[in-house]
Amino acid sequence: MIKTLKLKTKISLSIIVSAIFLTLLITVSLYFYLNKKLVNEKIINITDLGIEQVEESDLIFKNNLLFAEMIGGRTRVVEYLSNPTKDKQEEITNIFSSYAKKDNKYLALYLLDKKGKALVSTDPAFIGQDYSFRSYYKEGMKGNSYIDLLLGKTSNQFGYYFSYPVFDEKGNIIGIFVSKVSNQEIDSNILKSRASQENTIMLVDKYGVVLSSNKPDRFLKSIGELTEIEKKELVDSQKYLTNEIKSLQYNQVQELIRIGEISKTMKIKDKEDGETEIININKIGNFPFYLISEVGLETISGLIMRLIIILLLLIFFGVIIAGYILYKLILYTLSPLKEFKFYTEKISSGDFSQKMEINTKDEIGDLAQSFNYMTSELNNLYINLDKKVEEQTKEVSNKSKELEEQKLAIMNVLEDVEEEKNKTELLAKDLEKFKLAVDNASDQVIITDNEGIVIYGNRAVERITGFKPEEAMGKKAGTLWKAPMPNEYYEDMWYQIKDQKKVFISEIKNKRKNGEFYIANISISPVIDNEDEVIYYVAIEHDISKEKEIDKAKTEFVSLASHQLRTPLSSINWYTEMLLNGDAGKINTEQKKYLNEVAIGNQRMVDLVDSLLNVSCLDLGTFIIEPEAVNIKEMSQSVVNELKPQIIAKKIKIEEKYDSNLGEFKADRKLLRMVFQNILSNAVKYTKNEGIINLEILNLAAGDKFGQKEIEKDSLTIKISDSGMGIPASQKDKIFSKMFRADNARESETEGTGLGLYIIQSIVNQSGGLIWFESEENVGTTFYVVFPLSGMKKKEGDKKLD
Amino acid sequence: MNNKNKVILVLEDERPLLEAIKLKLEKNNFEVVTVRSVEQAKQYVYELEKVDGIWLDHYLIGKESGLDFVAWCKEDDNTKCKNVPIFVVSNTASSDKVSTYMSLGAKKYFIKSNHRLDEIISEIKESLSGDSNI
Repeated sequence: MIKTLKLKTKISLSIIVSAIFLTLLITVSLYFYLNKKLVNEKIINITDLGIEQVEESDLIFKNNLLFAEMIGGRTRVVEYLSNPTKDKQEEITNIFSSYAKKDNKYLALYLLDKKGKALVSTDPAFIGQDYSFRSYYKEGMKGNSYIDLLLGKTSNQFGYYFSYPVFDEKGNIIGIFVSKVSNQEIDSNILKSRASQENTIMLVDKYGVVLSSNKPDRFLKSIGELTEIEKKELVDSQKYLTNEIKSLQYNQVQELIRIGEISKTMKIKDKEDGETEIININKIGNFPFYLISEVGLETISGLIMRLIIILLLLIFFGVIIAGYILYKLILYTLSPLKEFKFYTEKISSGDFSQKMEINTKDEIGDLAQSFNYMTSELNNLYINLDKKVEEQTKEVSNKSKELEEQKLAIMNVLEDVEEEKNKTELLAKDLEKFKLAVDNASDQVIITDNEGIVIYGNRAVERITGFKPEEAMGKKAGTLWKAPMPNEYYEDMWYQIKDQKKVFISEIKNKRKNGEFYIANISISPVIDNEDEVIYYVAIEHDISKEKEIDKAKTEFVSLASHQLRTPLSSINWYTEMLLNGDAGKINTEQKKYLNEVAIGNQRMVDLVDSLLNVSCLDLGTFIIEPEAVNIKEMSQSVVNELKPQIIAKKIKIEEKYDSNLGEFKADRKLLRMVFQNILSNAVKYTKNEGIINLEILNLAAGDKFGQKEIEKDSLTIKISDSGMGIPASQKDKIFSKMFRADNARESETEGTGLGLYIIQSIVNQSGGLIWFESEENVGTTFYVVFPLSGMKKKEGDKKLD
Repeated sequence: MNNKNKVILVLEDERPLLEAIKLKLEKNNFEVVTVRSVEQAKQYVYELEKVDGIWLDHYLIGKESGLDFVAWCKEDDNTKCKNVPIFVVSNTASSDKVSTYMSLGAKKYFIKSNHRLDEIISEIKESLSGDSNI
């Protein structure tokens, strides 16, 4: 990205980046430098201040002590204590009062006797009080001057207590002078000094208890944690009465106080707010007091931050101004480059007449001169070139045209080739599938050339013939597994496939490699090229020897079964017949009636067995169709006559219509009769009393309408309609199924095997005809049967239907 | 009453059927000889003085079937049997069998279960009386 920027932008950017970097560097170093410096400064400062203040405090204390010593040493006082009289007491009181009046810092001036009892006091409340428990008393009785800062028991007022023992002439202690001074003096002189603006200043006793501070909340708190002994001592001394002493948690400082450190400055971490603080402690002279100054470093950090912000602002403005100046400067320096650009563009567009006018003596000037020289040289070259190029261009343009044309032609060819290639690839893929299928087909597949020489054989060849496909390759088809067949067979075959160029389908007997004969269905198809010449033959052989065996076994079984089933039926039949005939003696009417039922039932059984056997024949496809000349009209009428008893019984009206041209029709008498018989008997069976049956047998020409269909070729048509119960719409598609009977038919007629229509449909279809029906429930049914006028198709087989 | 001296040889393996046939034929004044195997039948043909008609079933006891009997009977040198009309009464109705019987020279083929005894016998009667008229 940087590479795409303009030169001036690049320079400006680099300056800004450097400036920012430098600024950061300066800021960081400055921060650390200042921080260190200022902290050191602070330490020194606080130490100096501490010493200064301590000296001042020391002076104040000393002065106060001096005052106490001075009063305590006064002759009048000594005299009074030696002999305390009422008069003297008054005198002393007056003296004390005059001092107190002179300087209002004295809260009370009073005199204790040897036992600690206040004899004289500027504050009358003190008189008679016993202060023997006070340290200043105890220390005084030892002959020491003493200074203490505590809460007055009587006044409950905080104050400094300066005490001095009073000696008689012999040097015996006879009492103690005590001055109670307000803490204002010290507070104003020390705590409220200039140092107190930044610092926290605390006056603490030897226990570390803050007695005075410019931060009121520190008052009466200990610097660090007190020990149990210290606490007990404090309570005993009643110094701070019953006030509880809390700790400020500066335990390090507390320790210093405990060991009597004179002066020290240290950095500690405040446990309360986590800030680093500098603390200076100083013992006030020989007194058991310390002055502690404390300053937080946050004030230093704030100072530095302010400094840095100012610095950053300054640098920021500086950079902006410098950047602007620099930008202008760069612009000025680089402006000749624009001119270079302008002239270079001119030259690129072929204009060599321009001369650059840069007269500076710097590098750019030199460059401009070289540039001008180059321009004139180029100009010369160009003029020569132009001519040559013009000549060559003409030539090239001619050639280019030719090439263009050739290219177009090649492109076309290539496209065609590509298309062909794609097609071929697709074909190859397709072929691959086919080859796979053929290779693994269960039937033997042989492909030969137009002479019958084998060029391909699939795997089944070996499985069926025992010969490997490779063995058959290059040989005339069939030579390896040929079984003796009549010559006519082969002649017929070659006639079909070579001359007629039609598919030859037949059964063929062959011999396996092991000498075993087998029967196969063979289909030979010629493959014909565009010129209608045979190029290949494809022969498919399906070994049917197994099927033949099975068929034979089935036929045997059916034959046996038909015999076995019929034999007992015959027995019943004949004995019933004999009984009915009275062969076994006369029978009564009732017996006759019953025997008739037996006979009828038995007959139905016989019919059922016949039908079942017919069905098995049909299913095996082994039944024979033997067409012969049949008088259709006669046959139809004879069937109608057979049904006459039922027709008359049901008072059915039957209308017969026959084509006047009905001649003899080639049909299998038995089968055709079955068709008539079946449809007509159904019609009679399912038509109600006094219904109508219509029978029409006509010759129709191709294109004529027959029912809802159109006749395809000239045909014999049979139409039988009844006014019966009809076939329910939902069961129409099943009506020709084996063992199927429509629901309404089953209800009305319990008899019926459901095999009749199945049988006649098979007969009609297998003999080349068509059968269908149109029906409406409760209106009637019409059956249509069509046979081509040429007659029923002959069919070989081994069984006739009964 | 011409039937009185007419002899019918009945070949039938099923005993109840054989019984019924015998009874019915005798009712119709035929003389009846019943056998249940081809072997037996052949023997009777020779032993009997005369046989006017043969009632033949297909399946019989023993290895040989009705077909074997017809074939044997219709042999040229079998003078005793050659011209005797054979009525095949069988339930073995496959068309190939029917046509084989007919081509071998059987007179008529009845499917047992489809015909009443009366019908068969009257046809036989008719047939035999016709013969006698020649």
